[in-house]
Amino acid sequence: MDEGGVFFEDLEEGGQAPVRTHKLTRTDLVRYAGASRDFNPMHHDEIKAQAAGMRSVFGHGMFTAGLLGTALTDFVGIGNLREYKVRFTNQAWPDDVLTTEIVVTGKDEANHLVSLDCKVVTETGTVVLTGSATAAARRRAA
Amino acid sequence: MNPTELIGRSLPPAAVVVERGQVAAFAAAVTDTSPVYRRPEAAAEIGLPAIPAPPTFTFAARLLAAFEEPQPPRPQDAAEVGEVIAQLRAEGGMILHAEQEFSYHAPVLVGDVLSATGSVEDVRVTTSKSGKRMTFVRLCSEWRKADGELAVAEVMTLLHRA
Repeated sequence: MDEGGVFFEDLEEGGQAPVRTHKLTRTDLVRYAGASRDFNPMHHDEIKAQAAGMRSVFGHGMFTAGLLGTALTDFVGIGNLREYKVRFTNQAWPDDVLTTEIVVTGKDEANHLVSLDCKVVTETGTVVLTGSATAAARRRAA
Repeated sequence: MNPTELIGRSLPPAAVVVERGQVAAFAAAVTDTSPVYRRPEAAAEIGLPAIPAPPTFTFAARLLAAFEEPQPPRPQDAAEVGEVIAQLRAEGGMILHAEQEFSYHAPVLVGDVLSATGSVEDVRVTTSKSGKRMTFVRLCSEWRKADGELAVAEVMTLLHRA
């Protein structure tokens, strides 16, 4: 399988990356807690989360940022991101269907960099995070 | 305490060992099934000398991979992120992870021993439309390879609402 990502020459302003859709489960939260060692109980302990006034456990912001990072590297190729920024806007809850949206906002022909706007939304339209990225997409051999 | 007094405080430096199992587990946790995170040959096919870490890995690396023996001495004025949070919350209120930024300069690879340094770059206090005090704290970290080459620069922005 070719893992190199999209070619710079094939990108157009306004073009969109393939969306990545993921239904959030409590198992995702536990797996991310273990893999990141972020054991804030708000993300895995339903009793403590409810005692703190939350309706249930909820996703780590950095889980959603990681999911969007996966969609970005699927698109531009692993190793090609140069910048990645996110702003956390809402919580993600178990059973939310998270969808990534990535749009090409510009191409810097001189430096062969592509700018992207990105976000993660739920099936009800709640924006979980918004962000932007810059990538050095690979070029076709001349 | 005036939170702007935190500006310029250093974060504790750290040395972390990037391990194959941790990288594979982290990739799986962010739903990435690419063989590049599991197989050295797949990494070689995209021109990397070893398995790379996913883009958000360094955010977790201080917790994941800072073993005791390679740790640098801790400066006297260094503040853990947890201490920064505790100071902000001294009079109550809520802390949120507002923003996170990464800039990538060289790939983080399995086998790397990275060193991190960081500091409180800025503290900004504003008032929200509803009259709440909002304090934004920017924590910057730099991750360097063993030879000193910058690999990743990160900014974590915390928001305290009170």
